Amino acid sequence: MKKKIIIISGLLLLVIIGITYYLFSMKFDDMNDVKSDYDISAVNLMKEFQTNDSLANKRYADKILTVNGLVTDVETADSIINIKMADEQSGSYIIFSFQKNEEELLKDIIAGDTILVKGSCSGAIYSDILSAYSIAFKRCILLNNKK
Amino acid sequence: MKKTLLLTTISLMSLISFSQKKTTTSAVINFDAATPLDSLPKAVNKTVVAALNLTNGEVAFEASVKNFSFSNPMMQDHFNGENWMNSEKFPKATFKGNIKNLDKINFTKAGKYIATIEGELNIKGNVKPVSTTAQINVVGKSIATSAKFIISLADYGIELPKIAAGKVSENPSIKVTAKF
Repeated sequence: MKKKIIIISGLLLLVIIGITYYLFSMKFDDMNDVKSDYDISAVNLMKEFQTNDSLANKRYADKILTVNGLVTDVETADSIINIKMADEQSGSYIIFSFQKNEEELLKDIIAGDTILVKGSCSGAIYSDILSAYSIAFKRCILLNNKK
Repeated sequence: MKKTLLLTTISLMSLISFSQKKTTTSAVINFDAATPLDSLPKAVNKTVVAALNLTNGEVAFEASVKNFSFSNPMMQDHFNGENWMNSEKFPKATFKGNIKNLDKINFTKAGKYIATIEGELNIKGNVKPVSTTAQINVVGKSIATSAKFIISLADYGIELPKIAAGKVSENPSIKVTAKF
Protein backbone atom coordinates (compact mmCIF):
# COMPACT_ATOMS: atom_id res chain seq x y z
CA MET A 1 0.00 0.00 0.00
CA LYS A 2 2.74 2.42 1.02
CA LYS A 3 4.70 1.50 -2.08
CA LYS A 4 1.70 2.25 -4.28
CA ILE A 5 1.27 5.70 -2.73
CA ILE A 6 4.94 6.47 -3.28
CA ILE A 7 4.78 5.36 -6.93
CA ILE A 8 1.57 7.34 -7.62
CA SER A 9 2.97 10.45 -5.92
CA GLY A 10 6.17 10.08 -7.92
CA LEU A 11 4.24 9.80 -11.19
CA LEU A 12 2.05 12.79 -10.31
CA LEU A 13 5.13 14.86 -9.53
CA LEU A 14 6.64 13.91 -12.89
CA VAL A 15 3.45 14.94 -14.71
CA ILE A 16 3.38 18.27 -12.85
CA ILE A 17 7.04 18.91 -13.66
CA GLY A 18 6.37 17.96 -17.28
CA ILE A 19 3.39 20.30 -17.65
CA THR A 20 5.23 23.15 -15.92
CA TYR A 21 8.26 22.67 -18.15
CA TYR A 22 6.01 22.59 -21.22
CA LEU A 23 4.15 25.79 -20.24
CA PHE A 24 7.33 27.68 -19.43
CA SER A 25 9.18 26.62 -22.56
CA MET A 26 6.28 27.50 -24.87
CA LYS A 27 6.94 30.24 -27.40
CA PHE A 28 4.68 32.18 -29.71
CA ASP A 29 4.52 30.63 -33.17
CA ASP A 30 6.31 32.40 -35.98
CA MET A 31 3.71 34.70 -37.60
CA ASN A 32 4.47 33.02 -40.95
CA ASP A 33 2.85 29.84 -39.56
CA VAL A 34 -0.25 31.47 -38.07
CA LYS A 35 -3.56 31.75 -39.92
CA SER A 36 -5.14 35.15 -39.91
CA ASP A 37 -8.62 35.59 -38.37
CA TYR A 38 -9.54 38.66 -40.39
CA ASP A 39 -8.40 40.30 -43.62
CA ILE A 40 -9.21 44.01 -43.65
CA SER A 41 -8.11 47.32 -45.13
CA ALA A 42 -6.45 49.89 -42.88
CA VAL A 43 -9.13 52.46 -43.73
CA ASN A 44 -11.99 50.14 -42.73
CA LEU A 45 -10.23 49.01 -39.56
CA MET A 46 -9.76 52.61 -38.44
CA LYS A 47 -13.38 53.39 -39.31
CA GLU A 48 -14.59 50.52 -37.14
CA PHE A 49 -12.57 51.70 -34.15
CA GLN A 50 -13.66 55.31 -34.59
CA THR A 51 -17.33 54.35 -34.89
CA ASN A 52 -17.43 52.04 -31.87
CA ASP A 53 -14.13 51.31 -30.18
CA SER A 54 -15.46 48.89 -27.55
CA LEU A 55 -17.16 46.77 -30.20
CA ALA A 56 -14.05 46.83 -32.41
CA ASN A 57 -11.82 45.99 -29.44
CA LYS A 58 -14.01 42.98 -28.66
CA ARG A 59 -13.81 41.83 -32.25
CA TYR A 60 -10.15 42.41 -33.04
CA ALA A 61 -8.08 42.50 -29.82
CA ASP A 62 -5.83 39.44 -29.47
CA LYS A 63 -6.76 38.30 -32.98
CA ILE A 64 -4.48 37.80 -35.95
CA LEU A 65 -5.21 40.31 -38.71
CA THR A 66 -3.92 40.78 -42.22
CA VAL A 67 -4.12 44.49 -43.04
CA ASN A 68 -3.56 46.16 -46.37
CA GLY A 69 -3.04 49.87 -46.60
CA LEU A 70 -0.99 52.87 -47.49
CA VAL A 71 2.17 53.50 -45.45
CA THR A 72 2.13 57.06 -44.12
CA ASP A 73 5.26 56.84 -41.99
CA VAL A 74 8.18 54.55 -41.23
CA GLU A 75 9.45 55.22 -37.70
CA THR A 76 12.90 54.08 -36.72
CA ALA A 77 14.61 54.21 -33.35
CA ASP A 78 17.80 52.26 -32.69
CA SER A 79 17.13 48.80 -34.10
CA ILE A 80 13.36 49.22 -34.22
CA ILE A 81 11.36 49.83 -37.37
CA ASN A 82 7.63 50.51 -36.98
CA ILE A 83 5.24 51.11 -39.82
CA LYS A 84 2.34 53.49 -39.56
CA MET A 85 -0.89 53.87 -41.51
CA ALA A 86 -2.57 57.07 -40.40
CA ASP A 87 -5.84 58.80 -41.16
CA GLU A 88 -4.61 62.32 -41.83
CA GLN A 89 -7.99 63.87 -41.03
CA SER A 90 -8.64 62.45 -37.57
CA GLY A 91 -5.03 61.78 -36.61
CA SER A 92 -5.92 58.20 -35.69
CA TYR A 93 -3.47 55.58 -36.82
CA ILE A 94 -2.52 51.93 -36.98
CA ILE A 95 1.02 51.11 -35.90
CA PHE A 96 2.75 47.82 -36.61
CA SER A 97 5.71 46.54 -34.59
CA PHE A 98 7.43 43.51 -36.03
CA GLN A 99 8.75 40.16 -34.96
CA LYS A 100 12.49 39.50 -35.11
CA ASN A 101 14.36 39.26 -38.41
CA GLU A 102 11.91 41.38 -40.41
CA GLU A 103 14.26 44.38 -40.55
CA GLU A 104 15.87 43.28 -43.80
CA LEU A 105 12.49 43.40 -45.62
CA LEU A 106 11.33 46.55 -43.85
CA LYS A 107 14.25 48.76 -44.71
CA ASP A 108 13.04 49.23 -48.28
CA ILE A 109 9.55 50.36 -47.27
CA ILE A 110 8.85 54.07 -47.60
CA ALA A 111 5.83 56.32 -47.06
CA GLY A 112 3.49 56.02 -50.03
CA ASP A 113 3.95 52.25 -50.45
CA THR A 114 0.91 50.02 -50.30
CA ILE A 115 1.70 46.95 -48.23
CA LEU A 116 0.18 43.86 -46.67
CA VAL A 117 1.01 43.17 -43.00
CA LYS A 118 0.02 40.26 -40.78
CA GLY A 119 0.23 40.49 -36.99
CA SER A 120 -1.39 40.25 -33.59
CA CYS A 121 -3.82 43.11 -32.96
CA SER A 122 -3.71 44.64 -29.47
CA GLY A 123 -6.84 46.71 -30.00
CA ALA A 124 -6.97 50.48 -29.70
CA ILE A 125 -6.31 52.95 -26.94
CA TYR A 126 -7.37 56.57 -27.05
CA SER A 127 -4.24 58.67 -26.74
CA ASP A 128 -4.77 61.82 -24.67
CA ILE A 129 -1.36 63.06 -25.85
CA LEU A 130 -2.38 62.95 -29.51
CA SER A 131 -6.18 63.19 -29.11
CA ALA A 132 -6.52 60.24 -31.47
CA TYR A 133 -6.98 56.49 -31.53
CA SER A 134 -3.85 54.37 -31.62
CA ILE A 135 -4.40 50.84 -32.92
CA ALA A 136 -1.29 48.80 -32.13
CA PHE A 137 0.00 45.51 -33.52
CA LYS A 138 2.79 43.26 -32.30
CA ARG A 139 4.82 40.36 -33.78
CA CYS A 140 4.02 41.47 -37.34
CA ILE A 141 5.46 40.23 -40.62
CA LEU A 142 5.47 41.87 -44.02
CA LEU A 143 3.61 39.79 -46.59
CA ASN A 144 4.43 41.71 -49.77
CA ASN A 145 7.29 39.55 -50.89
CA LYS A 146 5.96 36.30 -49.54
CA LYS A 147 2.82 35.74 -51.56
CA MET B 1 8.02 98.53 -42.11
CA LYS B 2 7.97 95.46 -44.33
CA LYS B 3 11.29 94.38 -42.89
CA THR B 4 10.03 94.65 -39.33
CA LEU B 5 6.95 92.66 -40.20
CA LEU B 6 9.08 89.98 -41.84
CA LEU B 7 11.44 89.83 -38.87
CA THR B 8 8.54 89.65 -36.41
CA THR B 9 6.96 86.85 -38.44
CA ILE B 10 10.20 84.90 -38.59
CA SER B 11 10.89 85.26 -34.88
CA LEU B 12 7.29 84.36 -34.05
CA MET B 13 7.48 81.31 -36.25
CA SER B 14 10.72 80.15 -34.69
CA LEU B 15 9.21 80.70 -31.25
CA ILE B 16 6.15 78.65 -32.19
CA SER B 17 8.23 75.83 -33.62
CA PHE B 18 10.43 75.86 -30.54
CA SER B 19 7.56 75.74 -28.08
CA GLN B 20 6.00 72.90 -30.01
CA LYS B 21 5.49 69.72 -28.08
CA LYS B 22 7.59 66.91 -29.52
CA THR B 23 5.84 63.56 -29.80
CA THR B 24 6.62 60.05 -31.00
CA THR B 25 4.46 56.98 -31.47
CA SER B 26 7.43 54.61 -31.44
CA ALA B 27 8.84 54.96 -27.94
CA VAL B 28 9.87 51.67 -26.35
CA ILE B 29 9.21 50.25 -22.89
CA ASN B 30 11.18 47.28 -21.66
CA PHE B 31 9.45 45.62 -18.74
CA ASP B 32 11.68 43.37 -16.68
CA ALA B 33 10.44 41.29 -13.75
CA ALA B 34 13.07 38.57 -14.16
CA THR B 35 14.75 37.01 -11.13
CA PRO B 36 17.72 34.68 -10.72
CA LEU B 37 15.15 31.84 -10.67
CA ASP B 38 13.35 32.80 -13.83
CA SER B 39 14.52 34.89 -16.76
CA LEU B 40 11.20 34.74 -18.64
CA PRO B 41 9.08 37.57 -17.18
CA LYS B 42 10.29 40.18 -19.64
CA ALA B 43 8.35 42.09 -22.25
CA VAL B 44 8.76 44.85 -24.76
CA ASN B 45 6.28 47.39 -26.08
CA LYS B 46 7.54 49.21 -29.17
CA THR B 47 4.52 51.42 -29.87
CA VAL B 48 4.43 53.70 -26.84
CA VAL B 49 3.18 57.27 -27.38
CA ALA B 50 5.53 59.78 -25.73
CA ALA B 51 5.68 63.56 -25.50
CA LEU B 52 8.36 66.03 -24.51
CA ASN B 53 7.69 69.74 -24.20
CA LEU B 54 10.95 71.58 -24.76
CA THR B 55 9.67 74.86 -23.35
CA ASN B 56 8.11 73.86 -20.04
CA GLY B 57 9.75 70.44 -19.50
CA GLU B 58 6.54 68.41 -19.44
CA VAL B 59 7.05 64.74 -20.24
CA ALA B 60 4.43 62.04 -20.72
CA PHE B 61 3.90 58.60 -22.11
CA GLU B 62 1.00 56.24 -22.78
CA ALA B 63 1.39 52.50 -23.38
CA SER B 64 -1.18 50.02 -24.62
CA VAL B 65 -1.01 47.24 -22.02
CA LYS B 66 -2.04 44.62 -24.55
CA ASN B 67 0.86 45.54 -26.82
CA PHE B 68 3.51 44.29 -24.37
CA SER B 69 5.05 41.36 -26.16
CA PHE B 70 6.39 38.37 -24.16
CA SER B 71 8.22 35.41 -25.66
CA ASN B 72 6.05 33.04 -23.63
CA PRO B 73 2.27 32.99 -24.36
CA MET B 74 1.31 31.89 -20.83
CA MET B 75 3.19 34.81 -19.25
CA GLN B 76 1.58 37.25 -21.65
CA ASP B 77 -1.85 35.87 -20.68
CA HIS B 78 -1.06 36.21 -16.97
CA PHE B 79 0.25 39.75 -17.48
CA ASN B 80 -3.03 40.79 -19.12
CA GLY B 81 -5.19 38.84 -16.68
CA GLU B 82 -7.35 40.26 -13.91
CA ASN B 83 -4.83 39.70 -11.10
CA TRP B 84 -2.04 41.41 -12.97
CA MET B 85 -2.70 44.33 -15.32
CA ASN B 86 -6.35 43.59 -16.13
CA SER B 87 -5.90 45.04 -19.59
CA GLU B 88 -9.57 44.60 -20.50
CA LYS B 89 -10.53 47.11 -17.83
CA PHE B 90 -7.35 49.21 -17.83
CA PRO B 91 -6.11 49.21 -21.44
CA LYS B 92 -3.38 51.79 -20.96
CA ALA B 93 -0.61 52.64 -18.51
CA THR B 94 0.44 56.29 -18.41
CA PHE B 95 3.01 58.65 -16.98
CA LYS B 96 2.83 62.43 -16.63
CA GLY B 97 5.64 64.47 -15.18
CA ASN B 98 8.11 67.31 -15.39
CA ILE B 99 11.81 67.82 -15.84
CA LYS B 100 12.88 69.52 -12.62
CA ASN B 101 16.25 70.82 -13.82
CA LEU B 102 15.16 72.18 -17.19
CA ASP B 103 17.62 75.09 -16.89
CA LYS B 104 20.50 72.59 -17.07
CA ILE B 105 19.38 71.13 -20.40
CA ASN B 106 19.94 72.80 -23.73
CA PHE B 107 17.86 71.00 -26.35
CA THR B 108 19.44 73.04 -29.14
CA LYS B 109 23.05 72.23 -28.22
CA ALA B 110 24.51 68.82 -28.96
CA GLY B 111 25.52 66.96 -25.82
CA LYS B 112 24.55 64.57 -23.08
CA TYR B 113 22.39 65.76 -20.23
CA ILE B 114 20.96 64.22 -17.09
CA ALA B 115 17.39 65.22 -16.29
CA THR B 116 15.64 64.83 -12.96
CA ILE B 117 12.07 63.77 -13.54
CA GLU B 118 9.16 63.78 -11.14
CA GLY B 119 5.65 62.75 -11.94
CA GLU B 120 2.83 60.28 -11.57
CA LEU B 121 2.59 56.78 -12.91
CA ASN B 122 -0.89 55.42 -13.55
CA ILE B 123 -1.03 51.63 -13.70
CA LYS B 124 -4.24 49.63 -13.32
CA GLY B 125 -6.08 52.74 -12.15
CA ASN B 126 -3.62 53.38 -9.30
CA VAL B 127 -1.82 56.72 -9.47
CA LYS B 128 1.49 56.93 -7.57
CA PRO B 129 4.19 59.60 -7.44
CA VAL B 130 7.50 58.48 -8.95
CA SER B 131 10.85 60.09 -9.63
CA THR B 132 13.85 59.09 -11.69
CA THR B 133 16.73 60.44 -13.71
CA ALA B 134 16.76 60.40 -17.49
CA GLN B 135 19.60 60.49 -19.97
CA ILE B 136 19.08 62.99 -22.75
CA ASN B 137 21.29 62.91 -25.80
CA VAL B 138 20.98 65.80 -28.23
CA VAL B 139 22.45 65.13 -31.66
CA GLY B 140 21.58 67.67 -34.32
CA LYS B 141 17.80 67.94 -34.38
CA SER B 142 17.25 64.57 -32.75
CA ILE B 143 16.71 64.16 -29.02
CA ALA B 144 17.19 60.65 -27.62
CA THR B 145 15.89 60.05 -24.11
CA SER B 146 16.05 57.11 -21.75
CA ALA B 147 14.76 56.64 -18.21
CA LYS B 148 14.25 53.77 -15.84
CA PHE B 149 11.62 53.37 -13.13
CA ILE B 150 11.71 50.70 -10.45
CA ILE B 151 8.18 50.11 -9.23
CA SER B 152 6.60 48.08 -6.48
CA LEU B 153 3.82 45.81 -7.77
CA ALA B 154 1.94 46.15 -4.48
CA ASP B 155 1.65 49.94 -5.03
CA TYR B 156 -0.45 49.28 -8.10
CA GLY B 157 -2.69 46.61 -6.65
CA ILE B 158 -0.82 43.71 -8.23
CA GLU B 159 -0.45 40.77 -5.87
CA LEU B 160 1.75 37.88 -6.79
CA PRO B 161 0.30 34.42 -6.22
CA LYS B 162 2.39 32.31 -3.82
CA ILE B 163 3.38 29.99 -6.66
CA ALA B 164 5.16 32.89 -8.40
CA ALA B 165 7.23 33.78 -5.32
CA GLY B 166 10.86 34.12 -6.32
CA LYS B 167 10.08 33.68 -10.00
CA VAL B 168 8.65 37.13 -10.65
CA SER B 169 10.27 40.20 -9.17
CA GLU B 170 8.05 42.23 -6.86
CA ASN B 171 10.01 45.30 -7.93
CA PRO B 172 10.23 45.13 -11.70
CA SER B 173 11.92 47.80 -13.79
CA ILE B 174 10.32 49.82 -16.54
CA LYS B 175 12.82 51.27 -18.99
CA VAL B 176 11.48 53.89 -21.34
CA THR B 177 13.41 55.05 -24.41
CA ALA B 178 12.09 57.64 -26.80
CA LYS B 179 13.59 59.42 -29.77
CA PHE B 180 12.10 62.76 -30.73
